[in-house]
Amino acid sequence: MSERLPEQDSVDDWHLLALAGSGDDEAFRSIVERHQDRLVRLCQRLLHDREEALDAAQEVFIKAYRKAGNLEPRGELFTWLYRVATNHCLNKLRRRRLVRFLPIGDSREDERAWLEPADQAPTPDRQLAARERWHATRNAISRLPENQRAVLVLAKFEGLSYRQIAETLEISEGAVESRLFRAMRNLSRAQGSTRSGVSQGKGQ
Amino acid sequence: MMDRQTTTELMRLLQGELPESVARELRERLQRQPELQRELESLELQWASLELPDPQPAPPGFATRVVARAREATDQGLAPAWWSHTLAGKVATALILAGGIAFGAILASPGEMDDWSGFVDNEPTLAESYLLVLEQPQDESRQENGS
Repeated sequence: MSERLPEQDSVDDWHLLALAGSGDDEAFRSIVERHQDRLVRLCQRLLHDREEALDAAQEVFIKAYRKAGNLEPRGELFTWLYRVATNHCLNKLRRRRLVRFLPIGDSREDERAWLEPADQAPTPDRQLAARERWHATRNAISRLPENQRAVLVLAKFEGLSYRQIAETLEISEGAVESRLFRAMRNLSRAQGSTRSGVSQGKGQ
Repeated sequence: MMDRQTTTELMRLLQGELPESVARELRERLQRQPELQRELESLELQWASLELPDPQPAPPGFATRVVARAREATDQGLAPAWWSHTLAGKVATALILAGGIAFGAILASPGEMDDWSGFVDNEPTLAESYLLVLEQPQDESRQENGS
């Protein structure tokens, strides 16, 4: 189970954003430094492409900068950033699909850059097994409908609570639960054959 | 496969989303019902099988680039919200507008307008040029007949 994301020092975040809103670039830099890793990670998990993820995260921060003076402090700033990032990435995926007419996430080339940490595995066999599992996960996730994919990534890989996901996607907790349930059902169907392989991999 | 409500409850249990009293009750049910226990284990396994590597963090200098790009966007006229909300922003906007109006007024000053309109008036329009060309041979033939 992934680690829950700690509640942010939201007062501080909003204060910094207000300062950025009055033209304080250092305050804006602090916001970027505070949230950059998390946003890049989220974009990378949704887009499966490092360069696109960096561009997307940058665009989200620039949007925040431009709206800094207008945003009402409500909830946590990172959920607003996550919302903008998620919508931005899903739009990118839609455009990508329109352009390529191909299922997303089938490129082994893209995967190499994405899978660099595989080298941490102690043996080549385990590296290979890890890569296979990651590839299966990526393919399964990329075949989910967008709304289910967003909820799954936020819950499983970003460690957000149902409440935080609901706030991020501006939906009810019931909708989060329902989308997660449907995502798991779809994954269960798609990964039926992979699951046995995973359990063998874990036993090594 | 379990019904939807049971499965979502088990999902919530796995993710620590159930209130403690409900979670305790569900754990008791799990001890009594092996089928429910199997469903929980299956969900747990499925959840654990979703593996992706940890993406790399933002590269060094990322924040500096973002701040510079945001600044660039402002300089290119994509002004942030503070531009229209602060006194400095308002004064700058007023000065830019006043400058634009003054520049427009200079361009539209009467002297220059006369020069410009005079230049335009002396030039035949396309239609006039066409008519002149059509009329020319007739005039020439009249002159020939008259001579």
